[in-house]
Amino acid sequence: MKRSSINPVILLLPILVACGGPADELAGGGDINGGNGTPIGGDPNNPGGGGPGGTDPNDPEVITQSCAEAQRVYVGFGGTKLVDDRLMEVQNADRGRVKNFKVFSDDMTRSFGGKAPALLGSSAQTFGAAPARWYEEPKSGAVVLYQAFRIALQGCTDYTKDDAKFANNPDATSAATVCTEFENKFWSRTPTPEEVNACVKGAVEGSAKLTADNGTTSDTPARQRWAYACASVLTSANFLTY
Amino acid sequence: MSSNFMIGRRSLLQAMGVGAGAVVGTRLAGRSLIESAHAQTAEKSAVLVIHTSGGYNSLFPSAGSYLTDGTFGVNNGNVQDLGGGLIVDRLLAGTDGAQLLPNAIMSKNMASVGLFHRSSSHGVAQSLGLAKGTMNLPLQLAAAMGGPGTILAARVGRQGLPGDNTPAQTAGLAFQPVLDMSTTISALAGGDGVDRNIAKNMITEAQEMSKNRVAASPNSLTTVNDGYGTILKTLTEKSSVDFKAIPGAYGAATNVTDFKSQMAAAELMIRAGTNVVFARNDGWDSHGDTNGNNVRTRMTQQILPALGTFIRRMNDATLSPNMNVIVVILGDFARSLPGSDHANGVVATIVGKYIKTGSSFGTVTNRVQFDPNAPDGLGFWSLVAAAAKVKTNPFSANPHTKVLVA
Repeated sequence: MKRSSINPVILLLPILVACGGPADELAGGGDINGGNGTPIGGDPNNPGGGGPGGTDPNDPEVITQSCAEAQRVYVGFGGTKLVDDRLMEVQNADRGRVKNFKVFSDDMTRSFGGKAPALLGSSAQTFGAAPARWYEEPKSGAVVLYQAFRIALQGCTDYTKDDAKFANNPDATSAATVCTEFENKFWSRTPTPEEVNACVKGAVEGSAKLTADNGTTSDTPARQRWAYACASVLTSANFLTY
Repeated sequence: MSSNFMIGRRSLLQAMGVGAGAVVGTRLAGRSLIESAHAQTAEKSAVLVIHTSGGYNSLFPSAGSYLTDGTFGVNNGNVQDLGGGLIVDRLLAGTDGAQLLPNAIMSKNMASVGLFHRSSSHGVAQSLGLAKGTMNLPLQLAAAMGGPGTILAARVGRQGLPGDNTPAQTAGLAFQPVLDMSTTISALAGGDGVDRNIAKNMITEAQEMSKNRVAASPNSLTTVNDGYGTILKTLTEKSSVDFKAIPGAYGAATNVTDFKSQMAAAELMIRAGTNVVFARNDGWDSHGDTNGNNVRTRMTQQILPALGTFIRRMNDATLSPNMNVIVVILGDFARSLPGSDHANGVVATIVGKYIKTGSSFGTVTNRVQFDPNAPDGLGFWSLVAAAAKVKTNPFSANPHTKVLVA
């Protein structure tokens, strides 16, 4: 009786420890196989300063070792390796997931201080929102991204309509400051310089001219330019996924 | 024209990550939807499935069976002999110039095909017409047709798939519901207050911001990566197709709430690159309709006007170049005698440029009995796959070769 309740646990242990920290894998937590508890992904706000498992979890260069290479192999009572039928994937890879519509909607609303862009209300179908008590793995796509951009632009237009700092056209200096604020606020983390630069480029260059249907161009109003830059941050995978 | 159209359609397909999402296929990031579709074959194939849920009276596709007895109100005045053993109701292929469906196409590229599933129960029969075991046949077909689109299979309208045991997913695909065309049209055609050139620049930068994150999840975020490439293509290229005009061509609104809008959405999705579109129309359980008047009226008023528009537009050489669009009409089962109740198989109608006029197990007896050798759903969908020019038919060998253009 006592033996039968303990044996399954003993049998499971080698499986659990065979390949890097499954208990905390999704959370990016410590590697119980590594033994020192240092998060595999390191500090996302401190690229280059992470632990032994890598640095920035968004940096593809840290993904080099497959489970097959890292795992400890145990042979079971039947003489077969316990990991023979395991799917081998690269450690630490493919943790990113597309937010479902509920999460996307809530995060978008939070980004604008609780004020939901009106387009959100008619976008559930576009995002493939699952029915109540049902789950479908969310997927993105061109239409989804475009609708996300439209929603973001609507919210950003409202967000930038009054504040004095959006009254003047963006330049490299002001855009760097505001883009950093946007990215910090919307992504809940410190952006990398490259991420800031992409936003700055959009604000300073990409949004400068409006193009009419007949091809003629005109200067984009300052607040509209900031709104477009804001929308670009909210259309990045750093906001749309987690 | 074709290149422009290709771009628009391809972009649209991937664009349709319309939520629901279950659409996955081989993805080629950054390619326009249309370009990819044409890269596979010289022409783009697509299938529209119209499911008349409740039943599909064989007085339409097998009218000749009832001519002698006059059952279901069949008489010489309401049938059309198309040759090849195919006599159909005139509503499908009349030649008097006032037909709702284009006679030039229907009389040359339409066949009646028996699907003998041997069930007289609605839910079971519906599933047997659309599935084999755990395989959803039209979804399997959509997957086999391939293409990089995000939405390879779509159902237009709120109704779900019919059948007690029709699998919701097969080959990694599910029918994506399309209830509103406006988002897709907006992505394809603009006119929504967003400056498309700036949008392209901003999404380009959004993609740049996303680089590391997407690279760290090359599989789980593949739809994001593909989506950026596709929408940027879509915003860059102009299509010669007037997507905004599609709902209007059917007299439909952008909300998919009736058969007109279902057909408009079907065209939109096909132009966006979807392989298989499923349109369900309920209300065909026609008990007591012994003279066929109810189903004829329903067909005339609800189905044929919009279906005629769809077939004409998808076969218009200017509007739809290099397209091979197949239309399938089927329901749970034919209606039995004497009370227009439940038969145990269905005679389906199939229309397409590679379909030859005729009947393949599609002529029932005057008592609505099927040829015992008539194939089941697998055989029927094998014909559809062959007509769609799928490189490798995912089903059994096509048993209906006599109605397939060699």
